[in-house]
Amino acid sequence: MKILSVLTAAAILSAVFFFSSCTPEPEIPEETKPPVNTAEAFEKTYFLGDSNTAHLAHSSYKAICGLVLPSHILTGSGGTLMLDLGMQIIDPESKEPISVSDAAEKYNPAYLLITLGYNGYAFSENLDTLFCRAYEKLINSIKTASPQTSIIIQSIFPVRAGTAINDPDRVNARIDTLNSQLIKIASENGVKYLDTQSILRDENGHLRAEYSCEGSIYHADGYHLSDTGLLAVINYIKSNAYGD
Amino acid sequence: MKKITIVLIFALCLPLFSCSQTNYRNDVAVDALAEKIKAALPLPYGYAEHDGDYLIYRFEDISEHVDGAAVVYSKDTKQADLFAVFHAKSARDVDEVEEICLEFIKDQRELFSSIVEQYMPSEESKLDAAEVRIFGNYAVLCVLSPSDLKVAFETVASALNFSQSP
Repeated sequence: MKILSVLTAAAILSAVFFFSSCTPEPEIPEETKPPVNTAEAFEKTYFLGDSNTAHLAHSSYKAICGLVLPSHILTGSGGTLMLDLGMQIIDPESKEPISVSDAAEKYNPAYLLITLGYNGYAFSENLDTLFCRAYEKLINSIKTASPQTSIIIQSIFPVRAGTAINDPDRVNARIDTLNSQLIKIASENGVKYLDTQSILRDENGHLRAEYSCEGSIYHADGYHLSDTGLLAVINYIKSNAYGD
Repeated sequence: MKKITIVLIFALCLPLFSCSQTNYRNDVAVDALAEKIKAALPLPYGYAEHDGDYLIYRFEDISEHVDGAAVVYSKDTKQADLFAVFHAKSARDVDEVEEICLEFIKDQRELFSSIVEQYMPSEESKLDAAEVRIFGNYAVLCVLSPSDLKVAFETVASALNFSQSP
């Protein structure tokens, strides 16, 4: 008799446990979702891009030193990377070439911020189809490889006048066109577009002088950002890249 | 008599003219040819191969004309090295394939122009030397240094020579 009571009690308890575990968690209404911890989100962000992205973790840029981990930088060899239908980057861990999708699968980043499109496309008006197709393919390959990753497309940065760049007005107009296409691509592919270029421009639409790299001849080319410029980019990312 | 002699000499010379056009094998897989070029021109970071999307968007309509394609590029983003091997569906398609490849070379020069000028000046010679060459029903496109380009074409010519096993 005692055994029967114990068994009944155990059965009731397990039934209670079963049904309580099956009850779905009440959904938090949209308005009351906890705000994203931007500092935490930034720490979980990987950065895919060309030399301006590589410089985010470069020790020679004192103002931003330590803000971005070198292990979170996905770029080509020597920081050279051009958007194309097939792209190899350098694995920050093994230092060996790896495809972007393999890197996304390997690191499974919470956030991946892409800044590509200046190299090759800012100076050519005949490669728009390739630009759009290559960007879309990149987004889709990352989504497939790492479905949990939130992809953020960052605008292409403007160039500075009075540098080695011929006709900066034309180049910046071209960058505007490419950024318009990025807005469309982001919208059509359900990813976020980050309009960082808006804070980098002066009243004439050029890259602001203080944000332009003045250091070595190699980098003082009107495109590369100074450490002040890189800091402005980082602050903009922290304030605008995460959450709705 | 003189007339007959001339006609006979001409007739005897005809095979010589036809021999001046090289005949190539038509049964070697494009991947095998690409592998031979890779082996002849090793790179520190190695090569990667583009997929079907690359053919669609960079070699527009080429699939209508080819039944085999391999587009191979350097994994090192600081190198412009790229080569492609196509097998045309028929002798009539070869000209179309060559045209498409020439268009690709033009686009590639445009795409790389700014980046090469600023950051990869050593690669300029590869874009300048870019060439497509026809071997029977095969078209081989190379964006390589002049010396590597020579090696690549020689490798393909040798592999498609009838005396070689496929």
